[in-house]
Parts: sequence; C-alpha cells; structure tokens
Amino acid sequence: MPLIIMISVSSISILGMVLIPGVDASGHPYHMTFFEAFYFVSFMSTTIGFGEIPYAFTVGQRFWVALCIYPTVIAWLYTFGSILTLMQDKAFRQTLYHTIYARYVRNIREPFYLVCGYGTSGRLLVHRLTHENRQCVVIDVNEQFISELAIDDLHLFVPGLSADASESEHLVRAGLKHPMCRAIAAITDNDQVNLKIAITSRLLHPDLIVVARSEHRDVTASMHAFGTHHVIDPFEAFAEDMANLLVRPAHFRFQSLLAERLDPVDLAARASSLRDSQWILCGFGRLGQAIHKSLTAVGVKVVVIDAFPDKSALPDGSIIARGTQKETLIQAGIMSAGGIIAATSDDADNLSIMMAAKQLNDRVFLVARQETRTDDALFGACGLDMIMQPNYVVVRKAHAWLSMPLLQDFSSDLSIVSDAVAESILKRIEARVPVDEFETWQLEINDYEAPAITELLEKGREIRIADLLRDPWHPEKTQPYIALFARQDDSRWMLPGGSQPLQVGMKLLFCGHRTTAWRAALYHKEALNFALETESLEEERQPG
Amino acid sequence: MSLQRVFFAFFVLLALSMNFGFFYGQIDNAIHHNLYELFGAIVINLIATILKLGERSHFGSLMLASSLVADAGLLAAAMVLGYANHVSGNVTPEFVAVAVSLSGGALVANIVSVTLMVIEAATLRR
Repeated sequence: MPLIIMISVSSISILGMVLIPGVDASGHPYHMTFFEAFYFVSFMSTTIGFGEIPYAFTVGQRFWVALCIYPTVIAWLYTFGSILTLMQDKAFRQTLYHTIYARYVRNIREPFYLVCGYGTSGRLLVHRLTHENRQCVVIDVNEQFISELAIDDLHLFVPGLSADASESEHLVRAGLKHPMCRAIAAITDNDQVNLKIAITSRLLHPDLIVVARSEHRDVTASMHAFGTHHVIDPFEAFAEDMANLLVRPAHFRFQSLLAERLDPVDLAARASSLRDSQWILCGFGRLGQAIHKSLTAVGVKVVVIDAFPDKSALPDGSIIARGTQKETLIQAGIMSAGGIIAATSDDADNLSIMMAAKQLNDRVFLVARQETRTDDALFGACGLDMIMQPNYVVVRKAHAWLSMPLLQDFSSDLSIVSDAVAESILKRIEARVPVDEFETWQLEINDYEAPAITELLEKGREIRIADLLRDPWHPEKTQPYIALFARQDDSRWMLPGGSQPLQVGMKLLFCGHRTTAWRAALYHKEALNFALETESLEEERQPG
Repeated sequence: MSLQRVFFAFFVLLALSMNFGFFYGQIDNAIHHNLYELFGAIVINLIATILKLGERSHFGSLMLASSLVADAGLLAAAMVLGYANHVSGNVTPEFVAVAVSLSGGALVANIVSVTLMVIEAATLRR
C-alpha cells in the first residue's frame, strides 16, 4: 500500500512537471523531459533538493512544485517508515534469523553435537566440547540464553536457535537429520521436553547417539524403553558415586580421575574409614531417596531427617523435623555420626544444616547439595567435603559420553571388578602417568583421526599399540600415557598389552598426558615408518 | 463481487492496454509512439506489480514474475529514449525502433499476465 501511494503521487508530480511549460535561459518556452522531471521529483520527494533544473522555474512551475512537495515527501517518508517497521518486526526478523541459522547448520562439514538446552548445564557442556575443538549447535526455548550465547567467550562459533526443542521441525532445522550430526544431548531442565527430544531423534535419525537428562523415574523408564543410549539421572548418578566413595574408594577415585581429572585420594581414604559409623541424611526428596537406597544397599546405616514427608514413606527410625535445628541433629546422633548429607532442594537450608553440623562435630564428613550456581562462593567458603551440583553431574556424564563413547564400555567393564583390582589398575597408571596432568581421550583408527596409521595398516604393515606409546623420533623414551581400553567390534581388551596389533576401525581409550609425540604417531607417516624400521632393526640385532 | 478484485483486474488490464497503445504503430516512426503513453504504461505496470506482491500461490508467483518482466522491458525502453534524448542528443528512428521492440517484449509478458489472471478466474469453483 505505501508503495502504491508513493508511485501514484510521484507519477502525478512527474506528469505535471512535464506538462507545465517553463522557459530556458534565453526566455524561449521549454518543456521538461520525462528524465528531467523524474530526476527533479526524486530529489524533491527525498528532501535532498538540489534546486531548480535545468533552468530556473517559472511561477507556474513553482506553483505546481509547491503543491507536490508535501504529498511526495509524506509518501516517501511513509514508505520508508513501513520498510523500517518491517525490518524491526519480530516475526520477520525471526524468520530471517531461522533461515540464516538453518543455512549455517546445513553447511557444517565436520562432525558436530546438537545440544538442546543452554541453561547452566548446557552452557558448561558447550564450553567443554568447544574447548576440545568439537563443533556444537545449540537450541533453547529461552531467547535470553541464546543471546548470552553470542556474548559467551567460546572457543568456536556456536550457532544458537531460540525455539522450542520439543517440536521436531525446530530440531531438524538445528541439524538433527544432518549426516555429520554425531550426537544429541537433551539436557533442558524439563523432563518432558527431554523425553520428546529423545523420541524425535530416535525416530528421525536412528543412528544418532542420544544423551538425555531425566530426574523422574517414570521418564527414565520410558526413555530406556525406546532405546535412548544414555539417560542421565543426576540424583541416581550421585547416589551411586556416594556409595562407591564409601565402600569402593578405588573405583570412586578412578571415575573422578577419568571424568574430572581430579584425584580425591584423601577424600576417598577419609570417607571409607567412616563407612561403619552412622550417616545422617537430611531431606528425603528425589536425591534423598536415591542416596538412601544406594547407601543401605551397600550396608551403610542411614538416619533420615525430613520436615515434610509428603507422599514418600519415610524409612523406620526417621525423624520428622527440620535438619537445620541443632536439637534435631543431636537427636539423630550427630556426635557419633560418620557423615551428614544435606539433600534438600533449598540451598539456604542445606548450608545451615552444614554449619550446624560442623559446630556440633567438626570431624563429621559434610556433603551438601547445591542447586544454583550463583551460590558457588557460599558453598566454597563452608569447607565442605563434597558438593553435589545436579548440573555438574549431568555435564560430567554427558561430556564423557559425547566425546568418549568408549568410556561407557570401559566403565561398565571396570564396575564389575573388585575394588582391589581397581586399586591395582590405578597403581599401574600412577606409575606411568603424572596425575596432575591427567587427561582421557579416545582414538578411532580411521582416515580422519589417524591417517598415517590407517595408510600403513592398509599397506599391510603391522603396527602395535606399543608403537603409539612411543615418540617416533626417540623410541627409547616412554611416553607418559597408556592405553586403558580397546575395542574392535565385539572384542574388548581391558588395559591392552603393547603387543596388541592395531586394526582399521579399532577404538582405543588412552589416559595420561598427551605429548607432541602423540600427534607425530598419528599424522606423520615418515616418523611412524622410521620408528617401525628402527624397531625391526633392533629386533634383528638382538638375537645376533 | 469484491472491490479489491476489481481494483486488481483493472490495473492488470490497464497495464496491458497502455502497453499495447504505446507499442502499436510503425516501429521506427516516433509520431506513432506517444511518450506519455509509455510513461503511463510504466506507472500502471509498477502499481500492478506491487498489487501482485505478497501472493503466495503458484499463480501468484507466475503473475509476479511476468509483471517483473514487463517492468524490466518498459523501463529499458524508457531508458533507451532518455539516452537518445539527453546523451546522444537526437531521437533517431533506430532508437525509437529499439524502444518499441523492448515495449513489444513487455507486451508479451503483460499478455501472459492477463491470461494467467483469466485462467485463475476460470478455475475458481463457485
């Protein structure tokens, strides 16, 4: 409509300018041509106003111009304003942005991870993945989180879409069906949305690895029912860790070393010495129930304190009161207790339980649940032994599964061995690997990750794991990393020996400190060749 | 009967008739081709184009395309005449012939446009 008005008004003005006679410099009658009229009206309506061309106007012409100026200028401004309004229109901009986003995602040519939910855990996960140079794509329903994504100081550019991830259309736009999409992480804070994402991905892209967060048992069950690869329940996961810490300290240390590069040797020693004393559990919500179940399963005595036991039946001997009161804690036996776990969903309550317990008994093992990240400083100042942050638990698990799918196989193989065996494996690792620079990583023998090895293997050369553990230029030096686990189709090797031959398609899990020698062995064909030659020479020399 | 449809059909048909009015006559004879008629054809064509904007149907996109072709042809014709008058200084029969043949091209596009409009009206279920 504004365009039609502008065209009509301008054309009438132009026509008038052409029809009205003027005079040239010497006084002869002169008619403007269409070109001159068009030129004049153009700069008149846009308020630029170069003046009267080609000759000074007659009174008649000026009369017509005076009539035309106002409508043309108004029509022009009206049109201009409409265009600006359109540009600022939310729906228009969103459509534009979605198109750009979809095009960007379509053009990704490397493996990428689709992260649904950019709250606390989503942000941490994306930070970790991009730090390892893994491309991510983010989708979150909250527009503000997506605009924060643009400000966040990430290692790579991460496109973010603000749309409801539970609608399959949006997931497809975010690259769900993209052939390079490796895995999808459904870690929004809404279980139903996560469930919907998991279902959508299983149906639309069945090869995709799906990692989903779930805090409710029924959602977890339905996620498992249609084959979600990894369901993360932060409460169950933490309860399991807690039980490990008390009865299988070596397993606990091993897991935290693999996932977080931390070695809580003192913590594990201290906690396991307290396993025979009584533990106090404040709060019997989802976390409390999970911890109670896993601790009693391994034979730890637990007393529960809960002020409002709603639907859940409290176990026998529980105290119905607020854990924040000293009398309650004394009644629960804090003086002789081994540890206390504050598992309510309120940060302030948890903190005050911790403070009260500490004042009564300063040797007690303190574990608290922290819900919001902004309370970091408070919880840090409290001097706790362990802090349970649901978001961190989710991120740690999700990250391990996304970046090292093999870790899952390794962990499940590891979890069935006894604590003494885990301890001995840990000792072997510690003998070779500096714990302060510990790293875990996965390698698949293929063109993309290990081109030099793949090429030599395809030529029929035999390469063994030991060749990966040496600097090709200095074969005599041992490198500070070891092979933890290897897998070829259905065969699995725990701590594979150096003589294990490599095959194309084999997946290996390493841990230790990744040195430059590592890259040389993977990418440098000449270096690898050289190392293999010297090795065979030495072998020939030895018998003789 | 809707006023909007009348309006639309009026401009589309007027664009065609104006275009034809300019085109009709001996190809290189400037007297047969009125400049004001070309001006009118351009303005009406532009308005018709804008009326066709925002149509999402298949017919709508075809009509928009044909209208854009007509605009291009007529504007090119106007530019040729403007060039002849102002830059080369003399409107020779060659220039007139070029401008008129360009408007002939635009005429074809306008005919397509009207045909499409008629087809659309004919397929309309009552």
